Amino acid sequence: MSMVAVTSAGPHGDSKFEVRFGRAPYFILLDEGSDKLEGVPNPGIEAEGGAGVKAVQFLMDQGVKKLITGKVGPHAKSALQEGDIEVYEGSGDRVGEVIEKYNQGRLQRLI
Amino acid sequence: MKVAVASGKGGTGKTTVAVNLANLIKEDYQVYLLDCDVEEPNAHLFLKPSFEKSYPHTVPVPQVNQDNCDYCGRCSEVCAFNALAILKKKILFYEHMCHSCGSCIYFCPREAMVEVPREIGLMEVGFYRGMGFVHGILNIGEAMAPPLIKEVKKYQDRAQVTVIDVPPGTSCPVVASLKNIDFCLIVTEATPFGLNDMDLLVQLLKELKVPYGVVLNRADLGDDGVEKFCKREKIPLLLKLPFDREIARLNAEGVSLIEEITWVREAFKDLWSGMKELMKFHG
Repeated sequence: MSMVAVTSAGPHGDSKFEVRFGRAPYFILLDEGSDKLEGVPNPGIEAEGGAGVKAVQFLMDQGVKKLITGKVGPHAKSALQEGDIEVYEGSGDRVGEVIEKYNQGRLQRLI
Repeated sequence: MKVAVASGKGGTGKTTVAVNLANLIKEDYQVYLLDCDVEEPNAHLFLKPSFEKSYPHTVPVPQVNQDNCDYCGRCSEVCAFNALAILKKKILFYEHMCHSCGSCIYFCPREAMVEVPREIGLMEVGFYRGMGFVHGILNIGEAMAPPLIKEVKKYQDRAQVTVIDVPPGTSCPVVASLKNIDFCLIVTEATPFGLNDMDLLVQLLKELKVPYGVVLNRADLGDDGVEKFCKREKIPLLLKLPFDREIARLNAEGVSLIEEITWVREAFKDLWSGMKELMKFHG
């Protein structure tokens, strides 16, 4: 079972899906296949620079293996690759909706 | 006496004013011209100096000795710029984000890091008809200009008068270029953009407690916003240059304007005496 993170504007499943990665206000964490969601604030948003790198470090420390987001910057991209985190391109209005699409295998893998 | 030429907005005529001012001042004083616009240095195109010295400029960055590292993550924790990430047994270092603060090396509990130099650009020092000339050329793709600007600024106390060509904007490179100066000449244009960016620069200069005056370039194109602003804020308007085809043509050829056009020479003489008065400089 791997842990999945979804970028989000708020801490809940019905919060708006956020397309930015490093500057996403929250990550919604869930164990693949489970319904239990946990919203955690992204420490990257406070960063002056290198928000993406900080966010990757945070996800690694949380044990995240898969990420669903919109856009990933160049530094974050290389860090995600080095950290062996799979990245999927999400689309949709709410986080719950994006997770549903992911569970149905409808999201495209970016990294 | 150290005089900076800045603008806020790009393309207002900073370098044209800096070069011609330096050319005029050098008739009476020993002068150095520093081109601090290291991302796009261009003053040398107008002065064609002969360079006597060139050397690479480096900044210190950390290098990890993997044998001593136990991936504790302390270096990444203390890095204020997120230039280091520790992913299990991998250390990622993003050199363009490193500000050379040395915290990672200082705080590493296993002495697994050492400081090594990293080249960020090239320095060139030379002369043009007795005038000292210094500029820095930042390597392409490099994110941080201030360390190289600081190296250029090391030459600012070598002559009676130093003229500093400042990069556009009001961010870190501009602040680095304006350090320890006596006066700032603001070159702007009679447009809303010229006014907006000049306003930002004036706020910065107030913060830095540097006295300043204005050159309004292409004064007859645009509106009266800058003039009204100067009046309201009691900012000395030292020179108004009209839009002039002859100036444009000679400048494009890289020719010294004060030597070719008599009225321009007189205008720059007036500008320099106005500046001297404001700086109380009678050397």
